[in-house]
Amino acid sequence: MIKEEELVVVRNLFFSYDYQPVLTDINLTIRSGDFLALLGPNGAGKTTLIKIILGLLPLKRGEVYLFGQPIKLFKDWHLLGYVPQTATHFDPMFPATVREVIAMALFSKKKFWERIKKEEKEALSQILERVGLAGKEKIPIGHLSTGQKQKVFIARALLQKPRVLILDEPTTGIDAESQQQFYDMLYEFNKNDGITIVLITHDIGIVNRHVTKVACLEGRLIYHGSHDDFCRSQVFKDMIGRGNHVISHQH
Amino acid sequence: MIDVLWRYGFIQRAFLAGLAIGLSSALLGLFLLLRREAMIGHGLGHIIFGGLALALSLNLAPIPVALIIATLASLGMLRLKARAGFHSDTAIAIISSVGLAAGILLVSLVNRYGVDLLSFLFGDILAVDQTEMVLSLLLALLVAGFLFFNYHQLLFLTFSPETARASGLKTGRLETLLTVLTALTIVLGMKIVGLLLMTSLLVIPAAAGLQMARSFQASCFMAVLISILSVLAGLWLAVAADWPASATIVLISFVFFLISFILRRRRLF
Repeated sequence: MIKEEELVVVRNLFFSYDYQPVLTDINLTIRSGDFLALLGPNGAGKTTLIKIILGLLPLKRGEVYLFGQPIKLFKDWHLLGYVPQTATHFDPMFPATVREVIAMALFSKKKFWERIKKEEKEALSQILERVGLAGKEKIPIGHLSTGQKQKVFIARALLQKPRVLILDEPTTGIDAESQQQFYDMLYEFNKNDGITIVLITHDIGIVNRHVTKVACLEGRLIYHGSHDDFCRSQVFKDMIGRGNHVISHQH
Repeated sequence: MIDVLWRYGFIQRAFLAGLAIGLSSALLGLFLLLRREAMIGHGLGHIIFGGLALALSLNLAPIPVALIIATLASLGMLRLKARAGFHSDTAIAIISSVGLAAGILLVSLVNRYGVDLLSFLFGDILAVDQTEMVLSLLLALLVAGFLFFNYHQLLFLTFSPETARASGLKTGRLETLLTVLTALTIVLGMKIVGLLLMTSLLVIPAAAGLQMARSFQASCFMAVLISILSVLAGLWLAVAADWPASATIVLISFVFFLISFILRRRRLF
């Protein structure tokens, strides 16, 4: 039985590329309001797990439930906002303005004859303001910095009114100061708008910034629990011992 | 002189069919370029050559056979990409090589490498008949309508295909329509510039449009404008100077590309 606050439930999940196992016996629950850091080294299967949850990779063995429904029956994909790892790796000459990129989100659930409504235009302007890009809607997307581009993709994901926002390594290529602002912005969406955040990263330093839950993946789930317990866990100490470092605790 | 020639039906058909194919190829070409599938026109051209050889060897009407073969081939390419996990260029190379090889074999077997086949390879815009002209105009309407009603979805699919799929967009349907419409444009466009040069009509005006615009809508407008101007000027020059229309149209579109490239380099756009 799936509880209402359990937005994403993964049970006994196994996945392999050809004959190479990538994920083994994964059990993970993401609850409403969580700010979850999905940690793990490169190649640990973090992106693969997320792609299965998003229906981008086939579910071969195990169960995935989204908002209480088995993934095969799930239709409300706009409830899951996604900013992929490769989001900023597009052709810088791509001739789309910031506004055109964000407006794409509105059309995933529209029929072909439906146009953008007045209230949707207003929502778009409000989101631009919240992510700090007001006044930049007519600028070509390729002219923005990496951090600004990420904000555009977050704005696009938010415009589809998701209940879960999944970000895959979103701070790659962003300087430390901008990273802090970026995490503060996500925290605000989590706290004020009640959007569940899933942050995929190989950077253990992220656990200090607003995270409430931690899941550690190394092919199998080696830790899944609260942030505070994680900081006292052997898994955390082992990760620190392997050269990862934590700067400061802000809770 | 064109005023005098305009009285002739074949000139009217040439201009109207040329404009229609110019519009379709510029709009579709923009998406192909941004999806890094610029060579799809070349690949499908090879397949269509096989289809034409088959039609001529069996004494069938070439255009309907080419339309069927091109549609099936475009669907085959998509399937090869999706199911076998090949990149676009690999799928295009495999399918097109098979089409060309089959065409060469058929031509050699029936020994009919005649005027018919050459006119499709190099284009013969002044030989466009009434049916081909009407089909070209219908295709232009279809392409423009498809893009108008699916503009944002196509932009989403082209810009970030993975996120588009994750947000629930039916990307498979859009990709299929885009590829099939491209295949139909190449078949109907082969009379205008020929199979060998059809890629240029898909790629060059779109590439010039991309150089000159800051937004996607502006790129669409510029690509269509350059394509139509190239067809009109190319056809006029071809008739006036008795040059081959296909080559003239392509070379004029290249002049437009060159101008747009220089202007872009000088940061005038």
